[in-house]
Amino acid sequence: MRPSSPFGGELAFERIAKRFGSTAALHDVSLTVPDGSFCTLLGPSGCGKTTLLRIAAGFVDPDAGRVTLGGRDLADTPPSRRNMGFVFQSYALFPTKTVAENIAFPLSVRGAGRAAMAARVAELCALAGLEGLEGRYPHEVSGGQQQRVALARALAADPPVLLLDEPLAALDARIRQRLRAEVRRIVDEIGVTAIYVTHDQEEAIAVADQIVVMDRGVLRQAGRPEEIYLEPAHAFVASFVGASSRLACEVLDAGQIRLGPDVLAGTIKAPPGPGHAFLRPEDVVLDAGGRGAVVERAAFLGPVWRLTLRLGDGQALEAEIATPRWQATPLPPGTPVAWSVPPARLHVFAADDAGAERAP
Amino acid sequence: MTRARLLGRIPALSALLIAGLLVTVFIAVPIGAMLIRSAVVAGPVPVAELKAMTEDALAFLPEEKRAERIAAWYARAKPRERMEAIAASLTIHDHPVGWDRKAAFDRQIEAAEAALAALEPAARSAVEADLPIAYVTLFKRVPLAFMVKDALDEAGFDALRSGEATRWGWDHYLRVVTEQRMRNAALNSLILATVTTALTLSLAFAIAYGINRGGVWRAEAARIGVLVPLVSPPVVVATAAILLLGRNGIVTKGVLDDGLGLIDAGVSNLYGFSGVLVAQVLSFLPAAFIVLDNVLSKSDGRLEEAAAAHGASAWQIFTRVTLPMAQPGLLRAATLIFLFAMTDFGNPQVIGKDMPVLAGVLYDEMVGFHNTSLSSAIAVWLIVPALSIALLLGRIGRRKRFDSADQAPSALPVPRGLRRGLTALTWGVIGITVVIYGTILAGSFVKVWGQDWAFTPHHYTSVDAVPGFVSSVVGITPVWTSLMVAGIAAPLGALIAVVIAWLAERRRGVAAESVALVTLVPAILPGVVFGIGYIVAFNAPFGIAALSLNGTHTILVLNILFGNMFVGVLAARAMLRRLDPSVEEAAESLGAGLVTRFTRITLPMMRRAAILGGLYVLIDGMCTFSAVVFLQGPDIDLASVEIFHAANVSYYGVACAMSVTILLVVLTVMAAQALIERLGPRWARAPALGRQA
Repeated sequence: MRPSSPFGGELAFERIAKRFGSTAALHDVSLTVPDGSFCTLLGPSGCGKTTLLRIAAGFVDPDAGRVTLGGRDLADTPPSRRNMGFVFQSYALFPTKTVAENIAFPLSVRGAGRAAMAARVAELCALAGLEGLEGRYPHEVSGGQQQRVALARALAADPPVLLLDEPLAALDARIRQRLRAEVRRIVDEIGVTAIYVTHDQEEAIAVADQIVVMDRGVLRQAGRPEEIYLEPAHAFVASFVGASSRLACEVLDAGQIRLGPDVLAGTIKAPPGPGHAFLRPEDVVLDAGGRGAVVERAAFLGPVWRLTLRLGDGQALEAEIATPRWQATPLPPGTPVAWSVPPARLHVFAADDAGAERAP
Repeated sequence: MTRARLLGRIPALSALLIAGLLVTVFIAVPIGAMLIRSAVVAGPVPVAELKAMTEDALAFLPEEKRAERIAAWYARAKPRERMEAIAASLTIHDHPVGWDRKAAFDRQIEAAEAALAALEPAARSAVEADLPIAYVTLFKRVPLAFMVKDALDEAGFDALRSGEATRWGWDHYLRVVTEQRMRNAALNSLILATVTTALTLSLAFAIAYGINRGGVWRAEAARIGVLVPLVSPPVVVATAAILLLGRNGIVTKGVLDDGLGLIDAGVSNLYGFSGVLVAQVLSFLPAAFIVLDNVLSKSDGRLEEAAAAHGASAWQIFTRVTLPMAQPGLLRAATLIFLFAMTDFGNPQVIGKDMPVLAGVLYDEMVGFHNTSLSSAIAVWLIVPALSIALLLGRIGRRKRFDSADQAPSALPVPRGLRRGLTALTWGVIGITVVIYGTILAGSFVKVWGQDWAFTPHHYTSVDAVPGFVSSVVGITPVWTSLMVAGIAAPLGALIAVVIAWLAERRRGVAAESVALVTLVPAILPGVVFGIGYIVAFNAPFGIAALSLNGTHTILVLNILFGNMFVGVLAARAMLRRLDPSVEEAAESLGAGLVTRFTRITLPMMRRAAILGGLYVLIDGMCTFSAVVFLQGPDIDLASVEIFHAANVSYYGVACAMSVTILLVVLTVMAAQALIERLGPRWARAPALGRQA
């Protein structure tokens, strides 16, 4: 069900740049969000993801570049004419209006009739699970309910694009998990193009069709969640999305690296010379034929044991071992082990890649 | 930036432009005009300059007729005029005028001729050569001016004809120092203001400390009790003090003199320095209290608890923790009270008897002689001490700022003896307030206080109560005039204040911030300054008398509006700072344009700040008089001014009646507001819109 709007379609950012004073918030960012898709902007705070969202809404003018919707340049369209639903981190509900009045506001400023407004409010309240709360004021409903009101209000005028700025950040963890699935359900039901800003990678992976990873104003990688996770295109992506061990190494020719005394095969995206290898704990395999290491620490995490291995050259490597196999005792500290990793899961980037230094 | 986006900025830009224009014209210009006027000196032009002007004018006469004309004029000089010409010529040539210029003319004429004869021949011929021109300069300038009128500009013509010119100078400022009368008054003012400030501050700090540290019984009630007279009609305390302790005071005359025969009330009474002091301290106490209460209630009590835990005694905690923490507030309160005391002329006029103060001189110069230049200079003198001390101390204390997130009060127990003392002090002050207002109420119904105690309602209805009293005032009618003027100013002030606050907080920028800053200026400058500024600026704007606002209702509304708007601006800014700015962005992204957004979202959210700002304009507009006393024309009677006038001529009955009526109006308005608050919409109880503005 594609709502009819004055304009809609693909949302595109073309070479967007923005500075605030002396700091560059966005640097030459280009991004295309296909019509009807759910896109997540992921990155640490200060990476420019919210600025990009606010540029889409028209709250911020870019210094360079343009935003188009369905091929139409939005530069001349003020925020009030863009018809983009915006959900704020703080919800930004009107404290002087009831839940129903909040949801009806975009219709009311467009001169909708009373009956049409009432029908639309009822429809949205049903969609967002707000029945019975119509007459309450925002401060009289819970945080999760306020979030639903904000979502319903943003969708009331049938916007072609919905922009969500960390919509769940103010809620506690349990509600956040439940609501993110619900946000996705509602967005799917409406069929709106959505851009969702978050710093929580788990949330991003859970809801998105497309994840865009940003770092210090630069777009590092855009792709499906599994692409981002399995095939990082940049050291920053490899370190920010999911947990990884980062090991200093030397890149050799022919798809190999030297790690301490060992030579390993990997997926290399760096020229020969110093590099960084990224390995996910779940990809490290303990087997008899592998490289040598010593167990330094074993931490029980429930489904898995997390082992810290000390390599021959002194670097630390994390490995995860499924719990059932080590029901009794894990490997005690000091145990020598052998490990290996499939070449496809060993990602190597040049050591001077800026993002690597900021790995969490 | 494209055309469409530029067009979208027009509403906000024009709002900023209008706000800027308003505060410039009605705040900055009056104050600037007053400052300029204070340095304008009108006086006779020195004779040498006058001679040069005359020679310039003579140059416009045809050359062949010039000498002839001068000779013809000089030929008719009388002996006395010749004597004056000799004196002038001597002065021009830098010779002393050696005879008594106040002696009889015959003697002077002889002396002048003798002086001329006594000069050396060369000097003598030079002086004699200039006698004709000196004569023309002194006595024929007016006909000369008319002869050459076409050749002169207007200012040149006026200056030549009158022999006077205006110039820039510090003369008016210097008079305050050089003239005995004003020096005395200034000294009195400084002493009075110093003692008043010290007393008020000590009292207010003790009370505020007690209330905030559990040292006063029923602290919440006591806080309200101390704050209630914050805004009250003028000279209420002085009037009540006279009714109680004056020559015919119920205590001095009624009890101590007539009753017990202990004193002679005609001699021993409260008039004079002590009376002014009592009136000022009690009048200014609530203002000092509100500043100190604010500081002490927000200071972090944990610090005092920490000091106690480290072994400090109660006295050490007080002197080393509490007092230093309160220092910024003490400085602010001291500046405020010193300003109040220096610029107060109401209390000294009513109860000061023979003690002149500088503000009183200003009042006399303004009302008696309409001497705006001297009054302006005195007004500047009145505020200089307080402001310079504040700037100086503020600079020293700048490094010390005590903002603490934790605002829990200290739970340390106050020693019992101190608690008793503070309770007695606080409730004693509240008791005095009750007595004062009780006296005012009683005074409004008594025929002639101290002489004829018969009940009469006539102070409220007419002037019949005291036969022979001449006044334009009929009962309490001025109160309704005041209510109308303040009632017009209040909603306008609230609206403008909210718009300015919004521009400063949401549009940001230097321009919006400056506009908001200018609105604060009247908060620092006393009403006297602001009032004189309005007279100077709006008597004849651009020199056009037809535009004059003086004596109209309009100027009163404007003065009250812009003089009190700052409370609304401050409240609205504080409120906007707490409100989430994305609420307005949400409205924008949902399709609301600027005007819709402001009227449907922002304005309702600002309701509390707007009401507060409007209420302040209304209440203070009805009560203050130091600004409007000079602005009120002959056809308009404002209650606050009439109360002062009535009290000033000892007609206390009608003063009391008007004060009581003002208080009733104020209480009614506040009760109505509280009721609206209670019955108001449910959304107004949202924490974001709450009362910690």
